[in-house]
Amino acid sequence: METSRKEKKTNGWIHLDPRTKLLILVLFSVVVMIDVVDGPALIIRIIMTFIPVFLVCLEGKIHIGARFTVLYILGMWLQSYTQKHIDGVVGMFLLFLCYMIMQFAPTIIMVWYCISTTRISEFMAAMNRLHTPQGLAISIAVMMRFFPTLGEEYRYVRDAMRMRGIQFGGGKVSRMITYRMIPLLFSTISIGDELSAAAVTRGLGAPTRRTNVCEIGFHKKDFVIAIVMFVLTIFYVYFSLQKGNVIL
Amino acid sequence: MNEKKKLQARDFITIGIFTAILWIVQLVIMYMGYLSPFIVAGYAVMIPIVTGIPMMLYYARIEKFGMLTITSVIVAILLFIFGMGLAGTPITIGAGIGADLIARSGKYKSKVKTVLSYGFFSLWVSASYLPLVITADAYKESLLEGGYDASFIDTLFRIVTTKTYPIIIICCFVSGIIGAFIGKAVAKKNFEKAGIV
Repeated sequence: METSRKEKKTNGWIHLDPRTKLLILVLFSVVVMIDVVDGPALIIRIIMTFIPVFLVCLEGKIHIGARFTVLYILGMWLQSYTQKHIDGVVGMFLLFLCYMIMQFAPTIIMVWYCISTTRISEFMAAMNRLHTPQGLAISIAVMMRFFPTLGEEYRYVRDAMRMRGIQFGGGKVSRMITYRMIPLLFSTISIGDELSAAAVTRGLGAPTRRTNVCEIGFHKKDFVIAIVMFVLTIFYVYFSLQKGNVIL
Repeated sequence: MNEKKKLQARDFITIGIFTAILWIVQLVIMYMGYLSPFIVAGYAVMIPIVTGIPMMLYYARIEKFGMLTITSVIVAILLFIFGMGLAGTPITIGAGIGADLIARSGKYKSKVKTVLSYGFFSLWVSASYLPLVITADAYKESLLEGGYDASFIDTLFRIVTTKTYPIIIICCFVSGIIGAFIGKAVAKKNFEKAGIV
């Protein structure tokens, strides 16, 4: 325990509370809901997108921030290039790709940030403090941990397919789906069994209340960042309302 | 008896895993959507059919009330985070609870009830159309400004309107039932041999 605490301190300069991250995620879902193409709202949107990039760098994961920045700039450049020079089916496809990246950029970076910097036990501690039902908390925690695993397993399946030379499943849609899905399901089921065995040995099924060694708390930095994000969201909604966009 | 009916840690882990798979599969289908407006309209058919395979495996592991409900709550949260708003939340959670009740009436073993229950569960897909229907004008405008082809947008909004919304709901249900049958067949072919189901 002592070593893990030291590790946490040297790992980054700012370590936010998981609840702050959740709050930012909720605010971003409002931002993503409203489309903005130009004007002051777009500038606010870009600023809001790059705050988590900054935060993820401050937590010592500079490579994630760098990768996202490259992706974002590439998407922006490709979008303006495609609008001017490429049309037809290829143009539509590229536009769609850029649109998805630009539209969901805040959520993409935020989810990436949350998953890469929040430990599962920290997340559980935060959910406990928020009085979330334990079942829901466990399910979401397992899901969060499982997304990267799924990607990894998918890469193994793809490698195995390439080795046998059946990348495209013979061109049939049904085969393309089943060749990927069935092996993936087989491995996920065995991983699930292992996970539940591991969880039971750690006393997850016990009827008593679980304790947690993670120290989480709302500090000054959490307040500052939460307030900044909140104010920015209000401005964003205000400016896009002026333009007459409808919000739900 | 009461002990057995309560959800255990094992069940929560199963919920987490299968919800993750469900979400990833539907996200992949969503990503193909903007290629053509027909694919967007086809979500109602494609998502229930393709996710039928993992979901049937999931149903084979369900024995207690509440698992489908929790899945639908998580799906609703994810839909909110991915910018679909809160309008679809009641539909999603309602579909989950309804599916759970139907499956429970068959004690989670009856084949007919499982198929019906999955059809009902698939109604959540219709929730992701709601922002498209309700904010049609603003959405249209933003797509146009984003540089989309005008004909693409026209086709999309001719297919998905308030009038066709009930048809979309029925589509979800019917393709859910088809997806359940396909999923059952695939599970029988691949997983029963391996002794997993």
